[in-house]
Amino acid sequence: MFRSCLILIVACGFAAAKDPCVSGPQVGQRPGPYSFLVASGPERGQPTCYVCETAEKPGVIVFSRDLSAPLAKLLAQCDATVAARPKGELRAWMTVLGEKTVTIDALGQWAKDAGLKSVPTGVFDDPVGPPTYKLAEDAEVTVLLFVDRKVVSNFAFRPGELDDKAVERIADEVGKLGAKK
Amino acid sequence: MTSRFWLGLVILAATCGPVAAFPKVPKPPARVPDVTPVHAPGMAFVALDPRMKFTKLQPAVYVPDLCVYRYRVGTQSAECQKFLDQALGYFYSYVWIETARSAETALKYDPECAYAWLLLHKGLDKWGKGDATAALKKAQELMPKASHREQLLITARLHEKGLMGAAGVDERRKQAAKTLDEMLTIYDDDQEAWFARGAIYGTQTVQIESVPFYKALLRINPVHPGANHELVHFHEGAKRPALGWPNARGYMASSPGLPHAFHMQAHLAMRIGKWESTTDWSWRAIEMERAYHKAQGVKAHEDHQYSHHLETLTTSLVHDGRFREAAEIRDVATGHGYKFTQSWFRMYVGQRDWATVEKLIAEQRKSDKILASYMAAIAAFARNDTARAAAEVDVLRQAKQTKKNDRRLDQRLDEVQGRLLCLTGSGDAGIKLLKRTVDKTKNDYYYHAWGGGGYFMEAWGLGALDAGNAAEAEEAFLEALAHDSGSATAALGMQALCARLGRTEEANRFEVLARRLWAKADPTAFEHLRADLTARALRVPTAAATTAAR
Repeated sequence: MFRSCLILIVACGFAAAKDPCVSGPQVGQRPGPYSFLVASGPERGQPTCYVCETAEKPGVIVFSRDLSAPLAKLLAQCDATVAARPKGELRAWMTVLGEKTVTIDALGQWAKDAGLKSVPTGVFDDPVGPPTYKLAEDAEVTVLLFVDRKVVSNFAFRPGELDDKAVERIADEVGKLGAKK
Repeated sequence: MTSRFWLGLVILAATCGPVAAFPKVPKPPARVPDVTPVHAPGMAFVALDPRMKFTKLQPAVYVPDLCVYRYRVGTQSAECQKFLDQALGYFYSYVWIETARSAETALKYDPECAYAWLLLHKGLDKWGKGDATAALKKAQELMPKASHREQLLITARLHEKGLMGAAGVDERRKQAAKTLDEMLTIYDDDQEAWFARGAIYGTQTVQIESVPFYKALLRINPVHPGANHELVHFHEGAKRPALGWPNARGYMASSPGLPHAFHMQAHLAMRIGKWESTTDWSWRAIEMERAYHKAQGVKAHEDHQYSHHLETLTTSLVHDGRFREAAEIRDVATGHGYKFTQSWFRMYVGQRDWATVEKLIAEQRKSDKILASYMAAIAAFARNDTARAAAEVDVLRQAKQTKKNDRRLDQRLDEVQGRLLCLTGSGDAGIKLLKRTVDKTKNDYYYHAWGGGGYFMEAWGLGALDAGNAAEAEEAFLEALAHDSGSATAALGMQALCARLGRTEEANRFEVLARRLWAKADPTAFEHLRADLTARALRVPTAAATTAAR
C-alpha cells in the first residue's frame, strides 16, 4: 500500500515537472499599461510605460526574476531584430521583477556587458509584477509578443528551462512579429 | 556588493536608531535683556551675554551623530575640529544658521583656524545675516598660518567673491576654478576641493557642469553628504529621478541626524513610487527637526526648511491614507501659521468629514473663489450630490470666460465637467473630457511630483465607473497605477471593477495590492474608499463582462 502511494506521488511529481510553465497574459489577451524604472537606453533613470508608447505596434516584453547568460542571449537576439527594423516599428524591452533583485546601476552595467543597443532594461519594484499580468511565481522568465494590444505568443520558463533551443524558438517568433510579408 | 552592504548597514543604523540624535535640552541660559536697564551697569551684561559676535547666536550644541563627514583641518584643538565638522554637516544640508553657529563655536576654541573662518563666511553668506565678508577677510588674513590645501580653498573662495581683483562673475568663477583645478592636480583626494569645484556652478539648482565633480567625489567618499545631496537635486531636475535614488540613500547614510537628508528622499521617492518607506522617512525628518528646535532654541520661522518639510510629509501621509497622523501634523503646522489647504481638503474628503470640508471651502471662498468652487465640486462628487456639483461647475465655467489662458483652470474645468457628464447620462462626452485632461498632463513631469502622477487618471476611472463604462474604467485605473504605483484609489477601483465583472482572481490581487499600499492607512479610511468604489462599480452593467473580460 505504502509502496503504491510512493510510486503515485513520484509519478505525479514527474508529471507536474513536465507541465509547461503558465505565466502572464495568454494569447488574445491584452498586455496592460505599466511603468518601470529604466536602467539602460535613452530613458535611463525615468519611470517609463513602454506599453503605452508602443500602442498598436508590435512589441516584445521580457519579464525576468534573475539575470542569466541565456537571458542575455535571448535579449541579444531581440536586439538584433529590433535594430534591423525601421526605427519604432518594433519595440522590445526587459523588466526585472523586484527592486531587491538588482539595482538600476548594476542592471545598466549588465545590459552594457550583454551588448544590448536597442532593447532597454529596467526594474519593476514589486516582485509580483504588474497585477493584471498574473506572472507566475515559479516563472523565472516570461516572454510576451504582442501586436495591436493583443498577445500573439506567450513563453514562460522556470529556472534553468530557458536554453538555447528555447531562445532560438522565441527569436524565430520575434523575427516574424509584425514583419512585412 | 561590499559597499552596498555597508551602505545598507549605515542606513539601517540611521533609520532604526532613536530619534533623539540631539542631546538633552540644556538648561536655558539666563535671558539677557534686549535693552540694558538704566539701573544696571552695561558692562556686566556684555560679560554675561553668551551670544557670539558674528552670528549673535548662542554657541552650538554638539550633536554626536549628526553627520559622518569629517574633514581634518589645521587646528590642534579637538573641540574646534569637532564643531567645524558639525558646521560642514549643516552646510551640506543647507542649514545655514547652524553652519554659521557651529563655525563660530569652533572659533571659540581656536580663533586662528582659517578654515573655520571660511566656513563661518559661507554660513553667514547663505544665511544672509552678519558680516560674511569680514569673516572671509579674516580667513584671508590667517592664510599664512593655514595648510597649503586650506590656502588654496580660501584663495578659490576669494576669487569667487571678487576679493582678488577680478571683476565680473564669469572671470571670478574662472579664476576660482583654475585655483581648484590646480589644487586637485596636487591633492586629488581632497573632498572639499572636489565639492567646491562642482559648487562653482551653483548649488540646489545644479548645473550639468557640476555633476562630474560630484560623481568623482563619490568615488572617494560614497557617503559624502554634499555630493549626494546635490545629485538628488540634479537628477530630479534632469527628469531622471531613478538615477538619484542611490544618492538619496547615500545622503541619509551620510547624515543620520540631519532632517533635510530624510526629507530629500521624498523628492524622488514620490515620483518613482518608493512608497514603502518614503512617508516614514519624511516623518522622521520632522521628528528630528522638532528635537533640533528644542535643543538649539530655534523658532520655527528661523528654520527655512521646516514648512516645506511639513508640507511634504502632509502630502505623503494623505496619499497613504494616514489621515490621523496627517491631522497631527496639521495641528503642528497651523500652530506655526502654515496652511496646506489642498492636502487638508483631500484628507477631510478621505475622512468623509463633510462639516470640515464645508468649513474649509467657505474659508477658501474668501481668498480664491475658483479654487473653492473646484474643491466644492470634488466634494460634491464624493457625496454623489449632482445638483451641488452642477452649480459649482457653472461657477468655474463663468470664471473661464475671463481667464481664457489659465491652464490650471482648463484642466480643473475639464475634470469636473467630465465627472458631471459621466454622472448625468452623457458618459461618452464626460470620458472624452477626462481623457483629454489625462492626455494633456500624463507626460508632464510637473504633475508627477509629490505623488500626483495618477490624479487625473483616477478621475477618469471614477468618471468611467459612474458612467458604467468598464473598459474605460479599467484603462484609466491601470494607467493611474502605471503613473503612480502607490495609487490606492486605482488599486481599489480595479478591485471593485474586477469583482463586479466576476474576475475574482484579479479582484483578489488588486485587493492585496491596495491593502499593501494603504497598510498604514486609517482602517476606516480604507473601508470608506473601498465602499465608495464598490458602490460606483455597481453602475457597470454585468453584461459588460463579455466585452471587458479577458
